[in-house]
Amino acid sequence: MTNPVHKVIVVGSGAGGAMAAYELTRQGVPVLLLEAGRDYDPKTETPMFKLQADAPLMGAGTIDKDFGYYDATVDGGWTVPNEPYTSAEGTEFKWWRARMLGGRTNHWGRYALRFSEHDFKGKSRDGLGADWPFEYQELAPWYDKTETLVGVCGTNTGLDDMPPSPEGVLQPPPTPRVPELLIAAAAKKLGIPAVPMHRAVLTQPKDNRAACFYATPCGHGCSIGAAFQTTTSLIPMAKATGLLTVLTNAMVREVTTDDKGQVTGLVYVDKTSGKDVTLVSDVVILAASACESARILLNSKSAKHPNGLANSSGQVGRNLMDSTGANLGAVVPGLKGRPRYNEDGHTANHLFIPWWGHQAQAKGELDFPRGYHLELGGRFSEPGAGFGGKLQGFGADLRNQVEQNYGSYVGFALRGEMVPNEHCYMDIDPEVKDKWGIPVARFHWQWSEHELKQVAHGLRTIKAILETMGATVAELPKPEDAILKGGEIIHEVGSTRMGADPKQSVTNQWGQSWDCPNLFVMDGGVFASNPHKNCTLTIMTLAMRNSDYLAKQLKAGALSAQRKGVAA
Amino acid sequence: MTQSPLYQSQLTRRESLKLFAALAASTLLPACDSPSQSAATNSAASAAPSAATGKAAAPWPRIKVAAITAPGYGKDPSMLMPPPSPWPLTLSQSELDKVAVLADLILPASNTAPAATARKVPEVINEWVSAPYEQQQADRSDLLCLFKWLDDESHQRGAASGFIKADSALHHAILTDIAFDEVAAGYEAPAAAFARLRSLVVAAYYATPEGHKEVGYLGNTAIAGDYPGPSPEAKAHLTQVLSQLGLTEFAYQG
Repeated sequence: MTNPVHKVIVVGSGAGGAMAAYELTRQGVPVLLLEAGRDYDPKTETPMFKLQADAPLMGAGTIDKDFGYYDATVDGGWTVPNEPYTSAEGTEFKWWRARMLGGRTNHWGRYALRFSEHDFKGKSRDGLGADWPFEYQELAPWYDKTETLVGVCGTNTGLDDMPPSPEGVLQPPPTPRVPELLIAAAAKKLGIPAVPMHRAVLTQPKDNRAACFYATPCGHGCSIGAAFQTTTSLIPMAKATGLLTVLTNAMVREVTTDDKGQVTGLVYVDKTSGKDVTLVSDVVILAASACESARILLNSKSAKHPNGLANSSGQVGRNLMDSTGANLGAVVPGLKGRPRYNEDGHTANHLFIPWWGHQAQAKGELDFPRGYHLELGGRFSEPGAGFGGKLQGFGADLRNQVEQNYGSYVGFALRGEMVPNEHCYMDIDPEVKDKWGIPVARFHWQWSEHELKQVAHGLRTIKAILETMGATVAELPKPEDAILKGGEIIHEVGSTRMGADPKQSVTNQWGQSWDCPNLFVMDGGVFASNPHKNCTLTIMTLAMRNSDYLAKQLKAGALSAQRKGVAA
Repeated sequence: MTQSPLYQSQLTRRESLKLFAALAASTLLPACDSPSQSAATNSAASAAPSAATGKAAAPWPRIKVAAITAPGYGKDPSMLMPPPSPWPLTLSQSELDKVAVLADLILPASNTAPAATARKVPEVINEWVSAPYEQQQADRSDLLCLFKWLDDESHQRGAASGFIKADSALHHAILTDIAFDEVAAGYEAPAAAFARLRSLVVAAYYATPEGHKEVGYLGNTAIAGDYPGPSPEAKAHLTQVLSQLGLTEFAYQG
């Protein structure tokens, strides 16, 4: 029996994989898309308008649903049944996965900030980590296209941390709410600007997607398509070309190669039957998430690739980065008992504080090399399991306390850039395998002084803003206690980094592996650094740009001749 | 563009839980009948006496609570139709009675709103402490110990038949000793457990459509067109706060 030769197989249906499928099929290239989880349709599965009261445990998070009962994540979270991962002794890293069509785009925060010129050239400035193999100006037109396709609300602020989009690309942002307005005033007094967040949420209709109606947390998923996820946008659009085939419950075991070392296809486990299936293709694109793609490569060993596929540099699994994270908040007395109104908004930041310290860093005034931003929390949110605030006593006065507390707490979430270091990487656990017999990822993690000093600065800044708002802030925690665990911000990238030097990187600037020209990586693994902004917009932008490059290569006859007529 | 739920149970979630609890209570073994293990553990001798009674606090009981082994709702439960009672409910009738008395002490009826039991808060607490998850099991252990301690403390204060049947004055006296941040030595453990119960009662009370109205949650409603932002009253209040904080000149200009 002849095994059909697929043109391109894409592994993963999240931000990178779905964008690759969209761009390739748009350009006439047929794509087979593999997803390790189940099929998922936000139109019929999203719990729109459901109250916490209707969920078990008032919607509280549990080990089964880490971010609460209604979080969109299916068969995933910090743990996936039958698919463990490990951490080296004395270290801890948390790895969020989803096993569903659309992957983590179904629940992500939708924060969609462009990286700036500083972000691509950190090493040129401070000598740390690695530069990207291109300038911001190279990516700018692709950001334009991606923002237009995805739908991003926000404004051009003119700040050096936020490069502008062309006129007409951004949709109008929603108006700010009271706690954000108070924070903005306090921050401004300290010389720190607060501006509209950029979010992949429609405030005006686009394609078949409705505008936001300002209800139901985006993390639950969005049945009307206002909050971007690939399952209501890129995947249906790619399917409409007739060139996309989707296989769910297909967990890739390894990428296969021929005796010349070139990629011939892959082997996946059909989770419904438990059987291995071999596929043949001209090109394989890994977009399974930074760490899952690196895991597949490291598990794809052969005589030509003894250290794992595409790993002649030894960099697969190395340079693992997450964002730094720390939280601090306080009750603001002036906000107690304030007038009520509907503060759901688009259910996340209308305003935030971008990094304002590029100039101070250039002048050597700061003791840490890379920036951070602050996300702003605190509003009249739906009462659920954690509701009530700090209470005293019992009886009649308790109602008064609850009503006074409501909407008076303001919280800040720091998200910062970490510098890659030799202690942060993943490899393959020599002992542990998952249910399918696939060796699992093992993580190694250690923050450096750069991250701790950055967090210390952030905590001091937040304290100053809170005190300017009239809040009392207790003694600050030590940065090593305040910093969240590696992986917890779910911005893990860098494990298959791109670069200009094959000895120092896994792929070229197109996400094309140096060792196998017909193997691409199109997830966050290719990031050369991890700027403080959410990685998803840039994952999609790179996937669009690099799929365009691939499509042009295929049209020119490259990468495919070697596989013609192969039978398995 | 209002959307209605695809499916609306005839019973509210709490009514279903109440039914399941009634079924369960008839067959339940007591959750914490290990008197031999409830001996004193912390040093009552070192505890300061209650201001009200002049006596030291009853020792915090160490009850060995059997682990809950029922499965959870899993990694892919229906979000449109959540299971009405995902695991067996474990509180006995007498424990539910204690939750009820305490819940109504924590949130008694006001002139305009009902007491906690009228919102079926004990049913939510029963589901909570019966859940097979780490946080909930820790809460279950604390609450069962609190119930035992309240009986011990009541005995110590002269109420031979225990907390439930003690009079209102004693209820208030005991809770006054454990319901505030500053407690006398020896009362720390019951105070911590009571704070946890209070949080759960308050959450269960306000996580209801009626509770939303009382506290003033006005969201979860579809808005056509742009998000309107703060009301005139909310803007006026913000203006006042900015002025009081000396921040008027720094107000956000958009």
